[in-house]
Amino acid sequence: MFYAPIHTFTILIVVGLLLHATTGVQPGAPPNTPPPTTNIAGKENGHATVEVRTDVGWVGTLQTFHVIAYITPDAGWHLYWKNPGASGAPTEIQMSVPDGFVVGDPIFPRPTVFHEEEGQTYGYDKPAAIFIPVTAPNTLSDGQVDFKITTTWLACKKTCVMGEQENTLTISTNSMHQGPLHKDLRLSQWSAALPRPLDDLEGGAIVLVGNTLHISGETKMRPIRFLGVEQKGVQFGIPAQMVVNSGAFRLPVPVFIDFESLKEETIIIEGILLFGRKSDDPSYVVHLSVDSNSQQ
Amino acid sequence: MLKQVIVFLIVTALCSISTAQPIGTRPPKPQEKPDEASKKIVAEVGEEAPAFELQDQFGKTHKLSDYEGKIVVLEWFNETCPFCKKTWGSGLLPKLISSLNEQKTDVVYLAINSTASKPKEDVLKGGAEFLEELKLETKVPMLMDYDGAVGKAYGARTTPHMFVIDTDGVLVYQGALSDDRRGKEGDKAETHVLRAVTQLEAGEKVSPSYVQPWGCSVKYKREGKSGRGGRGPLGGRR
Repeated sequence: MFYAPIHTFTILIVVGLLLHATTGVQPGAPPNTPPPTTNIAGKENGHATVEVRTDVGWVGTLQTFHVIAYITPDAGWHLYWKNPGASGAPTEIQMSVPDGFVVGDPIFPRPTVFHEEEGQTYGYDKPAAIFIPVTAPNTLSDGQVDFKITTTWLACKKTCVMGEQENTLTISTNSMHQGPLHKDLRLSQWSAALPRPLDDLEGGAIVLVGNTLHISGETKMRPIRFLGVEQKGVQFGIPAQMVVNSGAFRLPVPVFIDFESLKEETIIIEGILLFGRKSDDPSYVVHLSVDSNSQQ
Repeated sequence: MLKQVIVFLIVTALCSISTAQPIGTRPPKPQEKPDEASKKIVAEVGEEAPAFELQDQFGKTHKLSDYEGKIVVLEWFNETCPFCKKTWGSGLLPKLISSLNEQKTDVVYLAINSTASKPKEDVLKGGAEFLEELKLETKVPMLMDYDGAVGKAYGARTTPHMFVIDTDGVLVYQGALSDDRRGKEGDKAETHVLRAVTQLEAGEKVSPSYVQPWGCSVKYKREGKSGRGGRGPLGGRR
């Protein structure tokens, strides 16, 4: 009689811990729920390490989900955003996927602006989670698929080193049901660091007039900065004085497009709008397609 | 029993909180400095290239004006930068120099070293030994720009950062060496330098005349520092 309450309590604790350990499996999963995803790291070097995971329990047909590369620079070292700025080299991700899976462009979290002798550079001196959207094909069998993720970067401190790591992510597939989204704290925080669509910003708009990109919206946060993603034939100038009217702003950014060197009919102007200074302050994607025929 | 269930729920909740903590949950300390306009590139494509007079590893003095009537290619160079190691070591740059030597117009290739993160003698020795060990057919002059004046006049930001100057002394291209940042294509990568020189020879406009350069930052001499690297007044990084 004396030991009975302790025994019950212990069982409850054990059951609780077991429940906690299975957070990847959602209630209402189909009977043949596949095992959770696995992440195997490859060779590591270059003053940073990468771990990969996904945001779903398993993948169903035509499901769009994310593969997430979580890259951690060594203490004192920093890596670069997709536009490194005045120097450096972008962090890049290449994925090898099974037939039928379609990979989108990686979504980088808000970078930190570093001030160097030769100008500003953009990157990360803290862990950064890069989301890669993937869409499954319209037919899938029950089982597992492997994704090979190769992350390359330049890490700098007083010197610079190139780094590369290959990871394999095994994801379970289900022919009948789409997988549930994971909802853990880590994912929530990583998602919060990603730039949001400009449409989410009150009055958010972008227009190209001549050689100037006008980005506008409403916010009281300061400073407001635009970081462009330079590509071949697309170069950004120093933004002119921002026009502010109460809570509304308009930021004119000079953009130089070398139409002669660009064969494409549609030119993409891309960048990120940063509000405030902290890594968790809001940021927005600036994305504009320009018809080269209408501009020349 | 009710008490036990309550304790159980509390313990489970505590477990969830403690194990779900991600790495770096606290927002990092603000590191951004007040807005500063990026430093303007002094040398402009389409304008006369800044003049210079620098000595190479063999003691020979090179003046830009010496090369009037020739195409001049400048590479900002630092043998300790992994990009320079790779582009030279993979054979890409030696192959580029061979291709430039085959052009109808004389092309002069100069590597410029503005590294000042270590004593000048060490920079000179390190760079010279690196180029020597490559056993190149043509000796590549490495011009010493220890005070960084020439690098800053050209707006050289990275190693490598390439500049092409036409026969009239006008800057016609500046930027990346190639699009193969990782050196995956080895010596097969197409370079913007050869493309620019080929366009010049064909009488075409050099286009694109700028491609964002990539590479290590140029380790310029810091203000108030002598022969040593270090953080600048803005707490900058290298």
